[in-house]
Amino acid sequence: MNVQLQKQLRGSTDPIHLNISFDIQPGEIVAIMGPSGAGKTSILKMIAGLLLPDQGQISVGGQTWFSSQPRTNLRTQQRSIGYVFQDYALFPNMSVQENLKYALPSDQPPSTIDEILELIRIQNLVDQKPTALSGGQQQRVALARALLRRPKVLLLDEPFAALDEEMRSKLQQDLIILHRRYQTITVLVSHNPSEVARLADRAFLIQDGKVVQQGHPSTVLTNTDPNTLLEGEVLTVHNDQITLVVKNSLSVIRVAEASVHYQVGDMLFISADKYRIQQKKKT
Amino acid sequence: MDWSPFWLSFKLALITTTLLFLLSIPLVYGIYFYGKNIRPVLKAIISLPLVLPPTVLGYYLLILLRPQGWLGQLSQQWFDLRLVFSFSGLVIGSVVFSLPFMVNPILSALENLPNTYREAAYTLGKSRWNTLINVLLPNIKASLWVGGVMTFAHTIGEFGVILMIGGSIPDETRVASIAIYNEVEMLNYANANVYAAILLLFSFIVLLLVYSYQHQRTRSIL
Repeated sequence: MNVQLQKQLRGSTDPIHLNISFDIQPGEIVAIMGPSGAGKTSILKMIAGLLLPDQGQISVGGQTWFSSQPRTNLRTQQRSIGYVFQDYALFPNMSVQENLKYALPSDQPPSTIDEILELIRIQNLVDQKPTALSGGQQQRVALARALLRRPKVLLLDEPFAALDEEMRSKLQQDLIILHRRYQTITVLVSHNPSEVARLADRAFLIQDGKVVQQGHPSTVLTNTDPNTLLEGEVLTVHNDQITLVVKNSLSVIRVAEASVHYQVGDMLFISADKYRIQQKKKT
Repeated sequence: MDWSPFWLSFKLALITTTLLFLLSIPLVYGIYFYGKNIRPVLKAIISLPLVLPPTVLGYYLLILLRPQGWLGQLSQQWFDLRLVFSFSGLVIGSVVFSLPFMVNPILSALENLPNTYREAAYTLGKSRWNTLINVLLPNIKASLWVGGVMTFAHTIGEFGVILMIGGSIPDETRVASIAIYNEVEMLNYANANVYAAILLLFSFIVLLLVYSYQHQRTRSIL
């Protein structure tokens, strides 16, 4: 799959000019990471045909889904996609079975439903309405529904965000099983580094509408110096005692003459360089 | 006591509600899926009967439906049907007059549904029409009911438009609200009292049913 997209997006404060391009190989799981409002969901929606790019092209397995020149734009219905929405978007008027039946294309035998139900262990839920299901169960049904059409491209918008850690890791296993079974191109939007590390073959870090880093998850996720022990923003300085904000938690460290060298708001990092531990201001 | 005005009102309300239900689904489909950019204009046109004096609406309908009018001529030529001062004319008038009572609840309920229902159906390869019929409308059943009941009740209570385009012909256009007016004109207060009390009770019961239903739904959601 080849994706080149340009679009002017309304950001939370300033407009963002999204300008990205990437290739994904069949059977690959790619994660898109980045801060909120960076345009991650918009990328999925443009691939799905739910949002119109200003310029660019999307082609999957030799078929052009979108091209600004010459003008081509396949409707969402004509694109071979499965989409798992952040809120799952299961239809409340239908039971689990009916949701799946509705999604089943006419050229697929009804046994496809049983097969996928078994694969993700939700056979006992078929008569339930979606509102009666837990978050994890709804997620499974949404995944099953998205895969019933045997899509070429599976799009997942923060699919595990609302789940606890245990359920998350179970479902990640399920996703890997389903991905192997159906061999889709999977594009996953995620905030969660451990999720990306576990699932993705490649990760893209997006900021202000541009890809700022890409590669194997381990290189994208560990974007700091491998020797860094601690990195954080100075919250308070009192004599030789500094309080740091480190990834949403607080750490207190003692540094000689701290109030002389550091001010509130400075970035401070401590690294181990061979046998010597250093602390310094980061510029 | 002549009960025929009530029967006529009931018949008119039933036909109007059925026609409006059938008409509002394609109308809502057009506005919801295609009329995105001109939605405010379309909504304003549909809601006009809510704010227009019934006499204004009745006047324009009279111009349209009279034998020299565009619609009147057409119906005379094609169906040999006179529209003014006839039951058929009343049905047309009622459909126009009650249009917002059916369309507005359905449209606003659709707009309040999460967009992802529609988008999810598209990603499953479903057309817009299929999405509307199988996914969107079944999830706003309550609003369909409210629209239907309010249309029915509103048609029963219609007066101004009917007087303008239908007059007061017994068994043809003399509906309950017109009958009350006639009885008062003829100083038959006893009859007017009974007619009015029945309409009052009917309107109250309809509103009570609608609000009880909504109240119950809110409670079950909470």
